Amino acid sequence: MSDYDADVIIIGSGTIGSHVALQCAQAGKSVIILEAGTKLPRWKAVQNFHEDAAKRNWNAPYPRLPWAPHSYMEGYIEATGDADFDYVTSYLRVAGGTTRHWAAACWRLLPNDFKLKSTYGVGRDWPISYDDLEPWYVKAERSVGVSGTAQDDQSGQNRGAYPPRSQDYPMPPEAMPYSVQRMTSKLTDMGYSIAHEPCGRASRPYDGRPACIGNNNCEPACPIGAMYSGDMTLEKAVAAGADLRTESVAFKLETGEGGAITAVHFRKPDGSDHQLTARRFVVASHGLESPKLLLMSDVANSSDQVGRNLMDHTGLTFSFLADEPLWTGRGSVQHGCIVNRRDEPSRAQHSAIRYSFRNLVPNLDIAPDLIEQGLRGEALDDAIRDRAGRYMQISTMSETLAIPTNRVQPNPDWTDSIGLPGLKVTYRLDRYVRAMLPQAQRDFANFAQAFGAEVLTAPNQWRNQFHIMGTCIMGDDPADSVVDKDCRTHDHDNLFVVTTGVMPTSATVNPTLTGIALAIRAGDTLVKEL
Amino acid sequence: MSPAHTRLSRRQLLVSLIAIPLFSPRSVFAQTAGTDSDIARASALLTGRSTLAPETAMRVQELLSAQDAAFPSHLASLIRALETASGTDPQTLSDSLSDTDAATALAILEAWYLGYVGSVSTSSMDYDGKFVTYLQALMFEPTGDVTPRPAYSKRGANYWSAVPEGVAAPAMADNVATWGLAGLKPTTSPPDPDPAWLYMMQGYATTITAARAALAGGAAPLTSDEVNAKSLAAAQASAGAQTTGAQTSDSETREGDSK
Repeated sequence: MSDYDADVIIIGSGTIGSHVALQCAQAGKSVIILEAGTKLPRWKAVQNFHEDAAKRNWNAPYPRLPWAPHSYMEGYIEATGDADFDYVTSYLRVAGGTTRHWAAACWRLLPNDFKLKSTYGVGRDWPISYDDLEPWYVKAERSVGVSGTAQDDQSGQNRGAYPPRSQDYPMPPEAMPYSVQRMTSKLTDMGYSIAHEPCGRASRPYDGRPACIGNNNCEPACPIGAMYSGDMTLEKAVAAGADLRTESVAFKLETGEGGAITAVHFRKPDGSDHQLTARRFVVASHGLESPKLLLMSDVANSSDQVGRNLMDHTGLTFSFLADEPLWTGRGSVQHGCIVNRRDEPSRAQHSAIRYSFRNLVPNLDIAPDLIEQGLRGEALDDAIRDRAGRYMQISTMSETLAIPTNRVQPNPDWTDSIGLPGLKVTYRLDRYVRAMLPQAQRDFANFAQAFGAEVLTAPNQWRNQFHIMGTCIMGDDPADSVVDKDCRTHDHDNLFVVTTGVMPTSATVNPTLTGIALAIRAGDTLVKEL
Repeated sequence: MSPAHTRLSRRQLLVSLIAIPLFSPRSVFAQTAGTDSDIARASALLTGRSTLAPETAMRVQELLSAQDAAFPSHLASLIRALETASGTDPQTLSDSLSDTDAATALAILEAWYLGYVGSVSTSSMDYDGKFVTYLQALMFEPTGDVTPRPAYSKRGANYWSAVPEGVAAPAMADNVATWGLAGLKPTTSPPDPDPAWLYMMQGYATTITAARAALAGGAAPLTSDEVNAKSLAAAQASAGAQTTGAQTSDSETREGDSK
């Protein structure tokens, strides 16, 4: 009989925790997954979307749990920062995690993204290289089911097929929407490099999923499951033997002799406390929730870096009416982007930038103003059609640097229904991010000119992209980092932290695929030593 | 809407004759939510549509009444004004209304077009908006042949690469729709922008006509140094503290952040 409740306990059932769980369960290890939230089937999320007034509130269709508040619930996140920027982030507490409502962009970092300090003299280097992670990216792309083309230059630097890949994407890209054809036609002439956005949407039937048919509802819920979400991997992990325990909020990791973690304490919605023991513990609870648990437990923090170095892709959004019909909204919510500024020498001075074309059906963006203006009847309908056809929105993904003063901490001044603290975030935009503004304005001016734009929203308001990085930062030096290259905490041999929060650089791409690659790699480490 | 959309084929007619009495709750509900109610008549006149579902109209009335106890009397005033005005053109009718009646009309129209009443938020659960309808929300009707009501695509994979209905596509390269290196890639670097367009991007004008007029009058876009200085000053403007859940309930038109 074992002395432990499980070989490994994983805290968090999102795509990252589920990938670790799947790997361990498939190798015959006993696995318990603790999830603070509840299960919500896809059909119910879609029904909730249908019946809620706030169609553009990506959290709205998901559970609102008083014992596991999500980021949009009143008071849960108290943010302090710059006068011209409101820190907002969007994540869920639900089985399967926040990929339940993502847009499924599945990028690899570029090789230089792993060595920002040594290449450009700013930020940090990773303790591993692109080449180290490349085989794990391959596994991640297969698990998620990514559509993309290896024959593209994702750096925008005339490097041919780049970054280097040992294997092609598991599925070809979806067709290019007409609006992106128009973007490509006009902007390529100006010198801009348009790349396909690799995505976790099936472009043909894959792994039990149908091909995307353009429901244009990736956020907040793909109605047909063509888009990957973390609950798919979670189901596989459970089928492989992992024991999923929902409504179980981890609030303390207990340390024993020699610094080993001996137990996790968790609280149920009725306020009762429980504990479980394991050989290994994996904190995979999202980039803000993971450091919260570590700080509440006073573990893994000899460096004082837990919760610090918070990064997002805080950037700008430009929406406009073109002088021709483009018809965004046909297809998924995003397909292509402009990559010229991802890896230029200017990264030594300011943020790298990627420009992403948004492809939402824009009726909700334009109809309220037209109604307010007094248009009625046919004039209103004609104006909606005209403007919906000419609407375009382009956002920047701007690279931020790991700054220790940008941080998340538990907020004891606010507690949820079971007495656990909220979050306190301090986040300011430094000169490095702000100095991308002149470059972005110049590029946006060129885009605007190419399409004879009438401005709806000028690109001068900062917004987060909800990509959390840096909060459990990875490094070789235990004095200034939380986890090592294997996602193992420097302070506790049997405690791993696997989240996009370990990423020491933010680059300009959605971090989830990198998080999944790290998860599969950490799972491999766990299986070998258990 | 083309007549084809409202004309039933023989097969559709047979299906509907069989289906409605057996399965549709509407036929029962319609007895209490008739097309002759004030809200149904006002909705028809304001939207120019005679086919609006009466039970949805009743829902609009219930929700607006819950929001404002004076709504029934406002509605009575509105329907009097609409039915004593001449003509049936929604624009003409609306333009003839008093400010009070116009505000009532606006609330009804927003409910029908947007599919909800009250305010909503993209970044907080603290909103009072109430759902009215999604599949009948009128804002999607003018574009229904080109784009889907989100989550309700009626087409197949990759339909979106075709030229949209009603669009005369400009000439494009043969490989324009090819992703990757076999598609179009630039041979030059992006140019310096035209000052008037840059001026617009800095938030000083929304149309190129206005921007050019401003530049002709002596205005100029900010230099990079000025942009940076302005940005750093804005960061310091005042103590910036807020709670996520308590942010302004910005309208749905503002957000488009991706994951």
